Amino acid sequence: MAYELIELLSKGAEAEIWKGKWLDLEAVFKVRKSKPWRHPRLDKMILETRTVKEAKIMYDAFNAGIDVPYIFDIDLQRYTIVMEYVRGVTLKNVLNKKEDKVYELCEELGKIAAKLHMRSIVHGDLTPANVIIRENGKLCLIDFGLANFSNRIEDMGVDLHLFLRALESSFALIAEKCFDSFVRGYAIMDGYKAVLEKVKEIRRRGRYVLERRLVAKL
Amino acid sequence: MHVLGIESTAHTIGASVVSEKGIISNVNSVYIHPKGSGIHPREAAIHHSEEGPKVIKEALRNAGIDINDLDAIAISLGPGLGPCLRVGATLARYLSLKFSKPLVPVNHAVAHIEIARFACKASDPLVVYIAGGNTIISTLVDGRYRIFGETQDIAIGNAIDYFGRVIGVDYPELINVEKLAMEGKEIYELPLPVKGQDVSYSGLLTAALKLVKEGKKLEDVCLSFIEHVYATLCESVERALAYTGKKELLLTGGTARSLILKEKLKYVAQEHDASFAVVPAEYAGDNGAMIAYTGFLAFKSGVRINVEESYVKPMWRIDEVDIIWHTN
Repeated sequence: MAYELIELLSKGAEAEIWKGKWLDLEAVFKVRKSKPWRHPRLDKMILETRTVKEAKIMYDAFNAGIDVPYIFDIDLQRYTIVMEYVRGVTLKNVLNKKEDKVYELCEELGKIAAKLHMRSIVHGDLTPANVIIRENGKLCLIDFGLANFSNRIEDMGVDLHLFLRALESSFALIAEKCFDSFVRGYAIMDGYKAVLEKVKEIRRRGRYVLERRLVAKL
Repeated sequence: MHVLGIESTAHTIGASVVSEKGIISNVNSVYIHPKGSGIHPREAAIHHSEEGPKVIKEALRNAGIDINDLDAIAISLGPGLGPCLRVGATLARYLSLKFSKPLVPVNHAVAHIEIARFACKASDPLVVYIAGGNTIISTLVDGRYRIFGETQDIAIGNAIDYFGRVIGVDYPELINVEKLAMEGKEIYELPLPVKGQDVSYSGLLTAALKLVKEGKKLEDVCLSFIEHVYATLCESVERALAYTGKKELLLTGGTARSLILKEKLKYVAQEHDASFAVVPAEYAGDNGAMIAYTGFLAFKSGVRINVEESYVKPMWRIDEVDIIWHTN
């Protein structure tokens, strides 16, 4: 098969992300890793289920009109999702440079989050590092590894909360204005106010106060 | 300096004396629940009130010191079962008043961590504290044991023990369920409740018991249940290790006696270049020594409580306690 892993882009706790070639296309390979502490049969079950689920959520998000990497192939023997290599810079990089367009981009991301939530999809790791600005300026959402189908206000709140926390921990000076822009975009969803209320509640919970401190410390 | 510690949060009443030389006595008496039922708080409290004075006397005798020579009395005020906590607290208050000894409040969960750090000589570990009442992944940050992951409902030990009682294995249920699991071959799919950093076991327990009811082979159900429970915990631990970057992993609490989990956590630690240590068996379950030792650390740092304020706290969270005796 025309399948070639060339460069390891990142290594997470759950999967490795490789850049490579699929047929003649530039591609990203998300390869889920076996865990030696799991019973081999349970390991296989978990890896298969999660690979299929992630691909399914990406496909649903695509159908909801959200820009996500195009899926080329799902290889269940190797627990691998092969997808388009998205050229561009991450929102995190743009935030680092504090360019004026960050507020527009945050508002755009707010709209994207609303569209996801209206389709009962929560991203689970909505941080600026998981948003790529394509060369044509459009926002592409990546890494659905922790995504889920859910219409619980709590889960939607966690998406917003994670984004806000990432802003606060790394871009404290512009965090508030960025989040306000995000909310302006997010307001296209009916009932967005209930989610914002939930974010306040989540922030009051002790364990998240702790996590923020840890982020600041690490 | 000598500190007497008294433990009575759940099934164990224990007493111990700790000095600069270390743990010089450790006497414990465990209430064994009748087969098929869990700890009855009242029955355990009656056991503690009968055994308490004996245990304390023996701890002092083994340490070779007179009660008048003590410098302080440490008492585990929570978290735990109210009726059981009150027995130990009453004994400690009485001794404190009668012999004019300062009273030192100790959090039971903190004590599990401290005794493991001491016994394993860990300097800055990520701690996995698992027992019948607690499932906590924690590390010391800014003067408190912060919680990275915990159970959202029942504790891991509670889930396994309850499962064991329903299928009718003898005490200790944890070990006997694991032994059955080792004979299992088939794995059934059950829920895998990792919720962010947190875990949850009630749904998994119900699903496993449903398989038992359906008449599936017991060994296979045990294997499926145990593997799911530990896979969940290991995943949470792995995330915490990756996030904190800690290079020591420390396992403590009653469920640390597990035969299977150690091997699994060893792999998790290896993959993150961390060392791995398990609390010695004698300090795994509830014991007086952990209270005396933590009380010793706290007393040295000036921690005291007035008898009038020494209420038991059945829901005392680990992250509410200021840890002033460690510098990092």
